[in-house]
Amino acid sequence: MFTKIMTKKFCKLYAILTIVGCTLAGCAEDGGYEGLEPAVPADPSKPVTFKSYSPKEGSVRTLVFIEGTNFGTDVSNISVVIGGVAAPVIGSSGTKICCMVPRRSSRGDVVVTIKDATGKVLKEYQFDDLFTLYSSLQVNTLVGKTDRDNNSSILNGSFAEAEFQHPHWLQFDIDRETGDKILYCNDEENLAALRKINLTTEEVSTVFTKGQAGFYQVKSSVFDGQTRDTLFFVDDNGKGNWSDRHAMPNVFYTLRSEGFRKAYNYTYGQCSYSGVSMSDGTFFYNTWTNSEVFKAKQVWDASAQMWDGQALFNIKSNSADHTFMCKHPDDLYVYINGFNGVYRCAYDKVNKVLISSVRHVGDLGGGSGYVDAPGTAARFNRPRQGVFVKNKDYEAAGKEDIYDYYLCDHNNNCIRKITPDGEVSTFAGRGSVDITGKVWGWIDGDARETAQFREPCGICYDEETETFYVADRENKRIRTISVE
Amino acid sequence: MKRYILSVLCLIISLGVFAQNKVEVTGTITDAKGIPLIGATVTVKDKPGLGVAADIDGKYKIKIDPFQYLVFSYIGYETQEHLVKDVNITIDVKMEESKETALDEITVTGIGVQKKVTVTGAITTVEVGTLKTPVSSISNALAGNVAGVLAMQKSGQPGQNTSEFWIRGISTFGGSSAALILVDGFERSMDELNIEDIESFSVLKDASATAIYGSRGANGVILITTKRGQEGKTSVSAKAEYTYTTRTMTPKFVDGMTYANMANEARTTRNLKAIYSPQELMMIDEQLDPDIYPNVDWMSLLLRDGAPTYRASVNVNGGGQKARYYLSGSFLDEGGMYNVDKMLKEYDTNANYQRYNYRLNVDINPSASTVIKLGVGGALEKTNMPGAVNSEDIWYSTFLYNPITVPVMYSNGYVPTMISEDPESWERTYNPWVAATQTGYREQWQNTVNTNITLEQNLDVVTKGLRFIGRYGYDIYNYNQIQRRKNPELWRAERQRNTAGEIVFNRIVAERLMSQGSYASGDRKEFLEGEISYGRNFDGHNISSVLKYTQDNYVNTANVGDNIMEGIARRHQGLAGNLSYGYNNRYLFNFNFGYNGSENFATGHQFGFFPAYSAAWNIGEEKFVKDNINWIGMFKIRYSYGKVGTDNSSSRFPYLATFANYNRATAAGEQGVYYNWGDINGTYGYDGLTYTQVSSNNVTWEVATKNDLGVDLYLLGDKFGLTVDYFDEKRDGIYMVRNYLPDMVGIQGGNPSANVGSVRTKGFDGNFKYSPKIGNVDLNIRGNFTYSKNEITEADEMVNRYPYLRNTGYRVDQARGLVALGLFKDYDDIRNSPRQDFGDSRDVMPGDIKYKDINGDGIVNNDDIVPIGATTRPNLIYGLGVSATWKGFDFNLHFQGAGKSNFFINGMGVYPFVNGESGNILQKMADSNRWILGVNEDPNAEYPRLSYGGNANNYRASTYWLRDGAYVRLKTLEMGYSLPKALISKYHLERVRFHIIAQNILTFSSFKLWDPEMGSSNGMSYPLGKTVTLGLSVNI
Repeated sequence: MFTKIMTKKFCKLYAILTIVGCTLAGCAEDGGYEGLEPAVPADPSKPVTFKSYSPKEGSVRTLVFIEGTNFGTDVSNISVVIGGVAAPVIGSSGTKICCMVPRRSSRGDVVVTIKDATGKVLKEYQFDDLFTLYSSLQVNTLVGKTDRDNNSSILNGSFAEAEFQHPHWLQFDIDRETGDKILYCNDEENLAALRKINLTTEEVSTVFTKGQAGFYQVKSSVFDGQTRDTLFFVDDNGKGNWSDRHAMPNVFYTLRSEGFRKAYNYTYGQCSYSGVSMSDGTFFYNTWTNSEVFKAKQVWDASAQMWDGQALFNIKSNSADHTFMCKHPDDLYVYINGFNGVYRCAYDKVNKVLISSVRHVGDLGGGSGYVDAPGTAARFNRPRQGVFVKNKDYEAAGKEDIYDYYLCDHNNNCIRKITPDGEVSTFAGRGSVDITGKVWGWIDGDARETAQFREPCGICYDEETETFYVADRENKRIRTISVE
Repeated sequence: MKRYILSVLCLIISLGVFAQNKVEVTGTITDAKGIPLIGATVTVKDKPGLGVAADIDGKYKIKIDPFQYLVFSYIGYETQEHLVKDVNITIDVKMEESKETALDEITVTGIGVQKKVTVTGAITTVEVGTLKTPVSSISNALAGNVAGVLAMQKSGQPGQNTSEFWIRGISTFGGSSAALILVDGFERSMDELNIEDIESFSVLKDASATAIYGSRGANGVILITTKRGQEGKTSVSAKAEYTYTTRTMTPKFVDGMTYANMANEARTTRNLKAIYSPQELMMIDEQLDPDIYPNVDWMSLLLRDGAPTYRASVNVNGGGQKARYYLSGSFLDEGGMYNVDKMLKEYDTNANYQRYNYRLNVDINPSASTVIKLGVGGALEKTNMPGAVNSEDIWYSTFLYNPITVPVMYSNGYVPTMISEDPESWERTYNPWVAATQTGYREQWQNTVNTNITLEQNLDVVTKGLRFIGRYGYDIYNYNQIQRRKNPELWRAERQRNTAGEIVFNRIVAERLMSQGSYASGDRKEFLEGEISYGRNFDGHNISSVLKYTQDNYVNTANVGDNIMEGIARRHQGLAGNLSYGYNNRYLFNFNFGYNGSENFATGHQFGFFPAYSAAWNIGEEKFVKDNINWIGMFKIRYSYGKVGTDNSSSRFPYLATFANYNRATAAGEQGVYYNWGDINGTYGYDGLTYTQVSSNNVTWEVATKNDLGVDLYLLGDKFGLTVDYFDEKRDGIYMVRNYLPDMVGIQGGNPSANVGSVRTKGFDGNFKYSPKIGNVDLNIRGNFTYSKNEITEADEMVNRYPYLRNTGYRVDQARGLVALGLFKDYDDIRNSPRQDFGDSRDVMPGDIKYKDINGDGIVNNDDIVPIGATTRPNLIYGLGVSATWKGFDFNLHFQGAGKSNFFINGMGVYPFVNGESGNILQKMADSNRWILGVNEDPNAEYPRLSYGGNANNYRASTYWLRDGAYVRLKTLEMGYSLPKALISKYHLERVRFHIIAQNILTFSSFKLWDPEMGSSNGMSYPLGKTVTLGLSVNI
């Protein structure tokens, strides 16, 4: 009986506690991320008004803000056309639209169209004030694409389709038959394929792959200085020792007559990084070991029945580095990029030899860094391909050397400009520096203020259009630098 | 669980039911004035479970077997017994109020229960009721409630929200400073105890009280006993509580515009280019491009307004002369404060904590002189948390992610990250939302089972007053963790869109699918004790003595790997004794000793003898006081002196040397561990067998020599009580690694240890209570305080030409820094001041911190760092409370405070832009009186000139960043109402009480950035809870 009473008691107790518990437990679990704020189209029942826009002038990619009311916040219902070209609309707060000045617009008329949710045009408005477009040096992307993880492959096709693995080295050329402008591109640092970028037909094709050519680790290429009919390829064949110099070729050549399709052995030697062919046809190459410069095919080794190069000098004694040579268009000298700077070697046109190098710009000790300064105060980080470009001001001033040198500063993610006097400045890249201080990326726009490269390695120049082409290695794209 | 309790209960209850010829007894139960005592109980002696309660008129009726004793009892009244013969009778009972005086108060000591009047040591007995606040761990109720305990709570995360505490402060810098905690006589954790199960809670503070713990009691001892069954009718009590937890102080950060403007200011004021153009500021302000210029309040995204906690407990107790039982179960569910992703249904990522407790204590009397006590108790705890990150990591990332660099989610669904490091290697890189919700989940289980059995044998047959007690305990604990972690693909957009207006994304971290990892650990403890005691009173001469043998054994049962030392049990063995003599409770003498050993030390250094002496003079018992000053109830002066030790050194078997075959290719950190034939720090080494740890043969325990002078005072008919103790302790032989041995000794790494340090600690602690009765209101005013100051008197350290650079002479963990003299006024001020040699001294600008050149050498550098302030831990804790009861209402107010603590603030929240874009800025920092060029060039501004990417001059420990950790808080506000007896006794209920408890609702402190109690230097901790609790308790 007592048990019964107790059990009853328990039931009551339990009931009371349960009721209390349930009353108190009604705590809502709200909060946290609720998803994107829904974009609201313009309200058709209210008028759309326009007040003004600003700024009224600027170059391509300038952000323009349009003020007014009832724009809605759904950018897909807003269109802005500047000079007849659709301007990308970035955002709208309902009273302010942010859009970007597009490329290739020639006029300055600004037309805004606001649609409602159904796509019906609520208002189309043209501002009275015209937008004044300034020309400026702009970086753009020519060709190349990647997947979302920045992966790519050797893929031929139109500019929209083509992909590059790691574009590394560029040579500009004009096809003698068709007149098409061509870029020959070493894809990959150790040339996985020679790519042919036809700028005229906007098509990318593969000339040959590494296996087809029989290359080992081709690092650079260079046209012959006399005729530009021969394209040399310099190979880091892995044979560092003098005694191994006959084991593998270190320079190959291809011929224009064969469409540069077939590679022949040119010289055998130690592993080499670059070569240079003077206007008189003299060929020089350098080796990795002791960074030595050789004149090709000078010494007959009777025992091997082969030609050896003639050792001229060491770029930096007892030191080895990846070094790249580039000849002055007037054969005044050869620049050698390496040891985080540029060496200058005068060319003795009589004896046809390069004369021992002097440091032109960059740290004497080979230290890396990023400093724009004259001469040896400047700092570079892994300079790669360079190109000479005629400076009309020098020409007008009657200077002897009228070429500036533009150099891919690989690890500084930018293009540097070096004057004949050794003044170093940054030409393009390292723009849009945000608070992280990150200087690399894939951003087009104003060459200095906005644009970013990611490990640019190769560069060449089209004199006719005054356009630079840059092999932007880690962005896996070919970029252009030109005035728009 | 509930079903289990019920069935056991039914089993016990049903034992007492069988039929016979009955007699009927009726009557009325009243108090001395004739007022009926509703609910007074009438039970039959030795018939557990059989009983009735008096009704609203005080009437009762009961049918019982003839020739039994009826027991009449009521709380607060003396129990009466009446014999019933074989006829129906009426027994009217007038009950007398029970009178308890201070002389009857009891204290639980290391050698058993003792009357407070006879205690000669310093022992705080805590009223368990004051600890019964809705906190998950009892340790959180100690601060301000228990005289002699200094405590601080560092985190509010469920499952980790326990307080650290120290009895009379820290007196060592070598081994552990943690107190020895004994639950039911054996060393156990008190964190997972069910508070409702606690019967008594005492803190043993001086040498006399702790000497019998010998080599383990130097840091003080906490004694907890759990409830046991009471003879009488079965009583059931249950309690349910719902708690809503918010936070005492949540750090608040600036919004995007303020951040961007301050970032620009930080750069332009240091002659750097601004980061955000006016156009970009406008885009942030109007949110024109929320993907690239977002404005995120990470804190509100991460945190809920509050979280619920549920707690329920039930216990049953009863029994008769032959056997008594106490049975309890409880459940606690503490909700975490994080928001969860509502899309995730499969698992919970929140930081939750659940605990189930059970306990069964049974006492059996197999014979009149023997008691066998069995106790089984346990806890099962489950903690849940986000998968890849610890709570500190989440708080770190809320301080790391500024409002404008990345959005919560990109509009195409990509998950952003601001840091390009892979979270696999650095888990703090996730943004707070991802960290808390998108990284999987982690579950931890902790399982504790405590078992003890005690045999108490009265040996009066041998000689009166002789007793034997044997105890055996067996505890197991295990911990398991399963972590299921994952992370989404993490992206970061370029700061500029491409020419087509599209966002350019870079994938920073690849997706990681959910993977599993696990961890387990566990331990087993065994205890054995034998005790013989003798106590007898001969004409006012009271003699008692105890001799006790103890041994215990602790072994790790899991995750010991191949480390043989970890697999070996840690053992102690000891003999302890007590001899006390008292004359008429007036003159009391006491001698205690512990002769204890630990196997962690070399033979010959294992055992130590720890004696303690104490005496007390109870002036209140003197005849002239008793006759003349009747308002003195107890007035006792006591003094104790003795030694206690601690063997809790960090290293295992320091007397053993370890060897290894090292060679020069060993990892960088271990360079130099080889035979060096060259010069010091030379590189001409040879491989070979070498010492990795030199043996320290003479290492032994630390010894504390403690003095304690105390007064116990009860006045005005025991309405006023006061206990004050002054203590002076010296800790010698503090365990330290000898880091400053001369090189010519020839030791390379693995320096030996020795007992070399010494610390002196002095302080006061005490408590008072005053319980007057005003009209119908019973008032109780109580307060307590603990103050302790220590000083290192000896430490193994370098000789230094500046004595203030040494540790000796200053507190343990003394805060040190430069002395700031405000901010530089102008460049002339900089030129005319000593050079400040931190970073490039030419970078110092007006508005930067100016320091004092302490040593006067014209250069401010690390030689000018001096002890400033106190320590992070409070050196003063106090509490003040008032409670009142009136009819069924009760009210309790408790303030708690801490003082004498200082900490430095640093970190990303208060050092703006110290790491560039990483780091959010606290709103209070932005709103403060900070130095702004051309706007507020106040040399006494609260924050110096902004800087970007850190500032070697400003951002270092100095008085400029030292904050006072003192605070006072309204720790508890409790209101309760008990339903009138008349109403509830109809439903066979004894007591029904509703209560509301608010905790930590008000905090007063000069420090406002985060809760000062946490002592956090950067605020990156789960904030402490501010709670409101509704509760109901029912007794049957």
